[in-house]
Amino acid sequence: MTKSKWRLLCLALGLGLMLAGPALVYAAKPLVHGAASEPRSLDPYFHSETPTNSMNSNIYDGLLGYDSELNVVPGLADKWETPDKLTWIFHLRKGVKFHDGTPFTAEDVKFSLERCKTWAKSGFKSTVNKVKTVEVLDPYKVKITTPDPFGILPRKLAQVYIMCKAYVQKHGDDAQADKPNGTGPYKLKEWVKGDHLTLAANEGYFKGAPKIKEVILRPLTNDATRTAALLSGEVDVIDDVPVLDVARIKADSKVEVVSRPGLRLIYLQMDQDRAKSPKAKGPDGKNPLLKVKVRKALYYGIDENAIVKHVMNGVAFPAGQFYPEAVFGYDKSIKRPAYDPNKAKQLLKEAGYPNGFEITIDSPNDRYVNDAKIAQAVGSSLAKLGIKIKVNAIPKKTFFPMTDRRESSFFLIGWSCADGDASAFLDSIAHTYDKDKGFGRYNRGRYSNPKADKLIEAAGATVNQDERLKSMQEAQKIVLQDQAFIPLHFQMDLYAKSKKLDWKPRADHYFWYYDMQLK
Amino acid sequence: MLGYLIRRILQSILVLFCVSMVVFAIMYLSGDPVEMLLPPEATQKQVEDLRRHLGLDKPFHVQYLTFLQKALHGDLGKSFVFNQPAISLIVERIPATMELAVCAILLAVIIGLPAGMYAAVRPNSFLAKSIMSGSLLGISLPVFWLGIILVLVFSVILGWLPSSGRGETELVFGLRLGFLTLNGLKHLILPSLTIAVFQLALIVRLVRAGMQEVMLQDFVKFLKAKGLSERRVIYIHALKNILIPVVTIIGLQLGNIIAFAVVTESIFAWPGMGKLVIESIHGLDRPVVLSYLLIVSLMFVFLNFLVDVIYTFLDPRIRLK
Repeated sequence: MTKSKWRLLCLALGLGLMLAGPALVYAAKPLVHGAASEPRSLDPYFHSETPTNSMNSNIYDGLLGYDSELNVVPGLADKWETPDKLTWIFHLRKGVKFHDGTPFTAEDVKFSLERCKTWAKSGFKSTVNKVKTVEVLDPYKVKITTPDPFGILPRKLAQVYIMCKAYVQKHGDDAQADKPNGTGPYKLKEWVKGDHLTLAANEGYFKGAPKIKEVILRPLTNDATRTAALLSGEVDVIDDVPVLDVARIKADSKVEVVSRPGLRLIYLQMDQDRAKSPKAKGPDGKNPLLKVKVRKALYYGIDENAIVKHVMNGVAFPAGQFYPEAVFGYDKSIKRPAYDPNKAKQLLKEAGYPNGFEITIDSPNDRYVNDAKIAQAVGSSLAKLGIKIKVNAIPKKTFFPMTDRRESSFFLIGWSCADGDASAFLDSIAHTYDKDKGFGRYNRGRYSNPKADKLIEAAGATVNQDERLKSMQEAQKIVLQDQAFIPLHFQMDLYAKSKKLDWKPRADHYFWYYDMQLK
Repeated sequence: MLGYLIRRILQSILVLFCVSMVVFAIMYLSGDPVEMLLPPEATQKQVEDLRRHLGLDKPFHVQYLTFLQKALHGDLGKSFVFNQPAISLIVERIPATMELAVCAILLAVIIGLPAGMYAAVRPNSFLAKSIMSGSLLGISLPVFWLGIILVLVFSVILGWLPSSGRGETELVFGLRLGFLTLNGLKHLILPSLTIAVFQLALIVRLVRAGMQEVMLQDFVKFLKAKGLSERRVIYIHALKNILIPVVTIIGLQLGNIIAFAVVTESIFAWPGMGKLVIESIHGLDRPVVLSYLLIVSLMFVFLNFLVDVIYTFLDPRIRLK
């Protein structure tokens, strides 16, 4: 460090003030975040994806919020109660103001939830589809009703940021994309798309003024660029650190790598409702994946530890269930069984496939960390059992529509319970496909067990959280017994930051700058 | 001249029409953006609603005709990903790309032209030999490698220049320009150098070859015999005769840099059009990709026209017909 500083100094002396000027003058230093992706829109209902939601969490607040471990905490509502199973009453904070000075009231809540539900471009419709009515009881009290008991409502509402009714009506929908007006700890100062987005502290924030007064987000989508910017001191923190750069960052004394278990599960789905499957065929011409024993054989026959070690460079941990510990619904009692190729062969024999069968594993090659390589590793593990397996890795824009059309028999895919609740997985993947009720959109192997469905629906309709937990754990046990899916591993989130920055990563991969401090 | 202009304009319209059809068809065939626009938790009904809202449920010819009809009224559609008019997303980013391209070409011409001429006139000197082997290196180095090495050396190790971004910019007539501030200039050095190296090498080799050929021609001997100084012969008379291929290449390369500076833009996180369009292709954001390619085709047509006009100045025998 001193060496390069010396050189800088020498050069500055040599070339006069021309180069040294900006480098030596430091005002109150802003926090600079080198981000792997840029937010897409600052309209909080347009797109539900992590970089966008993360940025909006700094500008807006929800009625409720999440802490860094995804527990629901009060937001714009400081308490709430449920007089009966279909009614929720939220008491709002008083004295909160939007960035433009408009006071926040119950009217804004009603307006926001309705816009979220009905705006044609809303990406959050499914988040609030169980909100039946929103009623303003007084300026600081809101009543929300649901058509049937809906225990996960607080978690859903924590994702819906509250907009200012008067402001949206005055400026229109399109203006919200880059001229936001929220109640959050930061206001937008400037957004030059593709170059930088600057936030300024909202000194009147209801939880107290933020410690960092200015935040600059710079989209650095290229991995090498992001690392270089951190090492040269131009940015203070970066996300999605490329695994290959970890050693280089660790060698530098000014910066450090921080990691935490992420929410994303990488797992395999199997076609299990058709006698003939497009890409899986036993010697008898039938779909071997219909048999539980075959599916279990695949689970035992995949050497997941080797995948974590060699493909993921240790930046992942093996999964024995569908969500990590931070998610409500996690079951401590479930452990992943050890890799056991002999048992797998035995199971295949019992299922009537002593000599294996033909199958193709499909995988995206540009969606998850090392996705295509993981599929290859799965392929080589299974080939050792005598299964004739082909690996087909294709771009995500072809892969996802293909699985939607059910042209795949066996495929690698990922999932994260972004709201910190197991119901996201259970409703969208484990439940029987049901378009009208909105279940099982990603259940593309069409697993179906009425017992599991019943428990999943019961969990959704329970307001008592302990009972919900029990139903969800019971449901997961059934799904695992059926071996409906094969969990592989959870990804680790990797960040690197300047040692001057005081911060711990969150489970949801959001950057909430309010929690950060520069030493 | 007027007939030439009219013909040129009709040709461009035809080009634009063909480009729009081909790109539209390719984007249509590459998949369904809705799957990527909605979060995985979205329900099937939500997916179908959005598809209908964006008009993606209609057959190909209906979608294309709707697009054409709107395009003729100057509306190229709204980006699926950003929900903003596609054309304004691109126009916003044109100054950044232009600045980079013009700066790179200027560097290449200012250094390349004299270097190439020197190498032709004094082929046996040490400097000429180093110029020529350097140009070979410049042509063969891959851009992404060069960019990353420059960043490593000048930003990470030496700490002299910023590694990425555009730095401070100033608004001039609504255009965001970086080269007016010192900070902006420093940000401009590495990316424009990365692009310039290949162009520079190309120009050096082109100029040298042309110069060597011209120097052997009779008119040069005649000029020398007439008693003109060598400097005048080389820098005025010979130079004029080699400029036609050089101008052609500069015109084409300028177009190429503007349209395909993608690699450099992504290494240096330069907020230009290339980065936008790559991300839009990945996200199947059809309105943005279409508008971009239409603008780029228009630009190529215009640059070619400009090159033709410059020819007439360089060589009075050439007429625009």
